[in-house]
Amino acid sequence: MSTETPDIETQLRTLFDVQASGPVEDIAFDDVNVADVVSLDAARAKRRRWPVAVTAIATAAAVVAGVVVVRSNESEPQGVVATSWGYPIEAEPGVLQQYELAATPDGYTYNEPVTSGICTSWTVAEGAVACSQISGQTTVMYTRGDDTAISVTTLVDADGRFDELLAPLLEEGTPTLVNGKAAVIVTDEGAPELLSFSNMDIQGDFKQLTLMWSESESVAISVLYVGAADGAPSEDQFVALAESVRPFDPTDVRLALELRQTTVSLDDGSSFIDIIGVGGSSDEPCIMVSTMGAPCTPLTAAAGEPYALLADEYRFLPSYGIAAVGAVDPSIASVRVEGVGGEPVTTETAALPGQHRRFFVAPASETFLPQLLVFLDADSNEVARYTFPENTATATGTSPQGSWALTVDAPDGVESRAVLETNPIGGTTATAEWSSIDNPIDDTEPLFLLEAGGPILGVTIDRVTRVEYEGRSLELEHSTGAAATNAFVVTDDPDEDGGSSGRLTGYDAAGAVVFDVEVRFDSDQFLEYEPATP
Amino acid sequence: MQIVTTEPAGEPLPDFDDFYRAEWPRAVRLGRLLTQDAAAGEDVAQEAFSRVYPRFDDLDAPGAYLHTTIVNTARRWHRRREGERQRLPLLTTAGVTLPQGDDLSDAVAALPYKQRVVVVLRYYADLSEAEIADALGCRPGTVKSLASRALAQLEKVIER
Repeated sequence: MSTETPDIETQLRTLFDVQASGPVEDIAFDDVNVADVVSLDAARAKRRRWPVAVTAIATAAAVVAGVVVVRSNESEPQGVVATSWGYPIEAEPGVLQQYELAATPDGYTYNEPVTSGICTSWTVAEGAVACSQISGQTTVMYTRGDDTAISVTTLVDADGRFDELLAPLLEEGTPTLVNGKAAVIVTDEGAPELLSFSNMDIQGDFKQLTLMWSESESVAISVLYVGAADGAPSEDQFVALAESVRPFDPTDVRLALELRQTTVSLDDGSSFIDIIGVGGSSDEPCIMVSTMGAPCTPLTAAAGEPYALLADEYRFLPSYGIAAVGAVDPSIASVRVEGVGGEPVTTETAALPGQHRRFFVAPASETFLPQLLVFLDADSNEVARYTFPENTATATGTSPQGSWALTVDAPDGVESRAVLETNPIGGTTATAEWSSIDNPIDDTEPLFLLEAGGPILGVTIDRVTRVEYEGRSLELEHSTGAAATNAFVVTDDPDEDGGSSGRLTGYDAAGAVVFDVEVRFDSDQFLEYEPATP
Repeated sequence: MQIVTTEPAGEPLPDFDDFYRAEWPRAVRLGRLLTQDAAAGEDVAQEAFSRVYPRFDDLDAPGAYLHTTIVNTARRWHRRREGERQRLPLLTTAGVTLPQGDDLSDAVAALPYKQRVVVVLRYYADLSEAEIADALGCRPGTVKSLASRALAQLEKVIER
């Protein structure tokens, strides 16, 4: 007797029915205030009727602590805490409470609150997470070792509102929420300056702004995800993520306007994923490299100089790329780019409050090579100028903490590359390198990119009409991104054969190679094409 | 099994509560299949409903919109999880994976995301190529190509 093997389609239907057959908890939608759903983790807490206000995650090389601070929109305020592991804890509203959690074979257990107060900052160092309280007391909250003891903290006011709790606590140099929108008060020599932000979207899920505090040889970074707290769509809700790596002086505040994650290579050959921030306070822009185990340095450029050529703004350009140029002199009204091989296009992309402007400079021709940036005031008078070495743009600077050099080049005429080297006094030289294919995806301004671990690539070169991966044509679709006329994204999957790497080649209509690069994929990557909706 | 919500012509659209109640279990199951993670499936469904909710009254076909949103939300989940895995390896939890145990389920889980979406929507949700294309934001031809490659890969596995 023989049995006939069902065909693949029948087997798939059977498999999916089995996999989908598990019980589904019946959760009434009334129990979920969707406007408060701020993240997947938070959503889980939320639909368990843990109102969510803020997620705080502190990380370091060997430390991970997660806290979800929750609030209530319900008539009866609740203070409930969930860790990043989804472990809920009942908490008393209106006060900070810390619980010590201990790992057991059955999971975590927790004790009664051991302290209370207000946690004003987070510090992560040497395997511990500390919560600095308003009283000045610093309490070690979390250590990770053999016994894996964990503490979590709540910040829920009597009405269950995180922002209302924070607002009266916010003094100069601390982040705040104003009218439910992202805002920050930056203290710079006693002159508070209110800056607000939007669309600082790093990972595609949250609005984000970044605060950096610095002192001589250490830096701390706090990242605050912000958004409307007044019932706006969920993605505009705020989640806070506090991340700091060293003790810091909160009176010395730098505001980071940009944030990039990149790989930092150390002299000893090791490397780690880290964050580079670029920004500055009102008249002192800076570049910072946060560290998870390495020295970091705030870097200062003189007013009027292009403070950075940001990979974050980098465009993939066939022959050469110019990134955003930041001008910090308030008198600068425009930037003129001079070069050879065509005409550039200069656009002011942001005029942020304060004295920071960004100008996006892009050649209108692929043969254009920039040679000179001229900063002009409103009357077209020259304020400052910056000269690009041929094929390479290098900006250098010094600060009391050390020196830095930022080099941008396009060595192969295809892939733009930027290298930031920092040399802190008494510290270790650190180098951060990123390239045009490292940019995060942006569905409104598709970039040519390769992002490890996530969506793969979009192709924006307007001349590209055909893309091949290992000789196989990939499907291109026109993008409707507002800023991406003639842009294409690859919607096909180049990894059909499960290969981990290969050559990606783009051609123009005449069949000429526009780019030809090696790309890598891992097991769970896929090509990304974000439709306009939803 | 049919997961798609149809909106018969001429009949009033359901209000959101009705829509939610009707679609929630199936949305969770679809999320599970796309993420291959039981808890994440619930998260994805919840997130998707939260995105549908503010637009619900303006949608002609909320069921289709929900599908697309689930697909995109699951994709973001994959992105985020991979990012966390790289950046915050200690924070990343394993999750509760779906029942596995045979070559086919392993092979489905190992498919590139878009291919997995196609086979799940095709053989679990019974969507047409056009509907899948809408959900993926691509052309029907791409769906056909993805499905072909996915099935070929899966057949290779089960023939071993």
